[in-house]
Amino acid sequence: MRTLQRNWISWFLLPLILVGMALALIVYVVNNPGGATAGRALTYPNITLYFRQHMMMVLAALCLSIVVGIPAGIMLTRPRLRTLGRVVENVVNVGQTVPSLAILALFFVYLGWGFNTAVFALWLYSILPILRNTYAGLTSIQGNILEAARGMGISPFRVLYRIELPLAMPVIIAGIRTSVVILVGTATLATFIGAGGLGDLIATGISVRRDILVLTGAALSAILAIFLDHVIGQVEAALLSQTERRL
Amino acid sequence: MFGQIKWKLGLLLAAVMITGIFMAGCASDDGWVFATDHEYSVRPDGYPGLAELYGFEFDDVVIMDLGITYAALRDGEVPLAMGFATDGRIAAFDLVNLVDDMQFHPVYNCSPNVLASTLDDYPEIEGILNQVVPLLDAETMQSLNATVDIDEKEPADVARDFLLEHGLIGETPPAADKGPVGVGSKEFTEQLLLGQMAVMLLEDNGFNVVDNTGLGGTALAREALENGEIDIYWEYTGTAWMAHLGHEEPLTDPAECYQKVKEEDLANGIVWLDYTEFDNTYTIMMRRADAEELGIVTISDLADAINEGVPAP
Repeated sequence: MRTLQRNWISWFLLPLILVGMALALIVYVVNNPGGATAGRALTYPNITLYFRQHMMMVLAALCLSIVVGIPAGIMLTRPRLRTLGRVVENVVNVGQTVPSLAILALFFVYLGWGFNTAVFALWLYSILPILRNTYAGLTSIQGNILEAARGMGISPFRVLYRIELPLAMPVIIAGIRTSVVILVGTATLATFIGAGGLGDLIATGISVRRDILVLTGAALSAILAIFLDHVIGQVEAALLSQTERRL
Repeated sequence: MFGQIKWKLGLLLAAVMITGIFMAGCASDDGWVFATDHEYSVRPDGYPGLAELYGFEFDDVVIMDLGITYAALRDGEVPLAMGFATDGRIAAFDLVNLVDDMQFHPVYNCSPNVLASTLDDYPEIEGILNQVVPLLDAETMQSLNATVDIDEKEPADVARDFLLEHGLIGETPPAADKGPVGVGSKEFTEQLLLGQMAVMLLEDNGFNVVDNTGLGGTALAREALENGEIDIYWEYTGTAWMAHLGHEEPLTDPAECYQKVKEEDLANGIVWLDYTEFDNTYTIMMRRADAEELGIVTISDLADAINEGVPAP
């Protein structure tokens, strides 16, 4: 009973506070833009559009990264591909050091401007933490646990499904959380290749020197990052409590 | 272990997908789509004011980095784009500037901005930099820009050739005995050229110059000047009036704008030297073939075409 109550509060309290903060901020800045120039960017339709474009880019890239990153991570830890796994892990680590703006600019050259290019570049960028964490989570499981499972005659697929994935899950989800926070931040750069999003507010604010635009864009993307991180954190907690109950 | 929570995950996934589909519904890429940079999208002397004065609205406005609008227009990805009147790519990409028949766009003449404190130490800087200003008319600037953007010459080489041709500098600068003086610029071609000209003119007069050209956007260059990290950069009168001095109403007379900016900025410790004849104002561009086919020459023509529902090229 007490756990249930605590869960409800943690599920809804923080998201509610965040949504409230975002709404209050939007209402405030739309009504007090501090001048006509900033006011032209700070309208309800504009902010809604930017927010939607931002969410859309982040969610599309995140879904693609999860769908590709986790299976790829699993495959690389299978016995036959283990050596390749170490190589890929290093490549991935190096890949993460390329600046995100450079990745966007690179794909702009080949794919043109707009939403699709932005999602593609963001996807490539956000796949890395998920792949790496899946790989790390699975390889860090102690060998004797797996040996015991195999010794009991459990099939390799069931070992993966019943033992490896549940044990590696906190690490995998941590990767997804890292990824989503990176994505929300990086998506603000997509404005430079015409994909819109909250970066429109930030970049416009910088170029016309209206701080309120920069602050609004930055605050909204920070709120979005915390929100998504929280949601994924709750999924993790739900999955963990299931595992614990079974143990 | 996944059995009991499968439905929860399913629910979450479904929610994400529904949100995605809902949000995908808002994208539209057809019609009179206008590619613009960030600044132009909100400035009163940009798109909002233009649409109001001429009485039309584009079907969609796409905001992107300054400089990729030209290629987006050339490649047929958008029918309309904003650019700058002195850009060399306009002629090279076979684009046309629509005539601003209602004289909406304000003036953007360029002038070297020097810190007053630096000018106190080296008053000769004013004379040195002012030598080049009268040479810079619209045609000259456009062709210098094109030499860099289209012929892919280095801005420094183009600037040196230009100054040598006009006898403003010698082949090799003398040993530096004054300074150091920091010269900055924004990141686009014209600014790099003007910045390099300032660097070379000062070096030719025995200054030790710190070359900080290509700093970034307007705000960065201005902040660098205000903080004393650089001593000189070229600014446009209209930009200073609106962005740095915070005025909301644009000015359309070159001399008036220059005088007002010069006076106000003196209080900020910044001195405006002479201003150029060229006026690097905003321009609305179309592909030449489209403009000829639709008979669009002026922005009023464009407004009529949009309002009459002529399909976008």
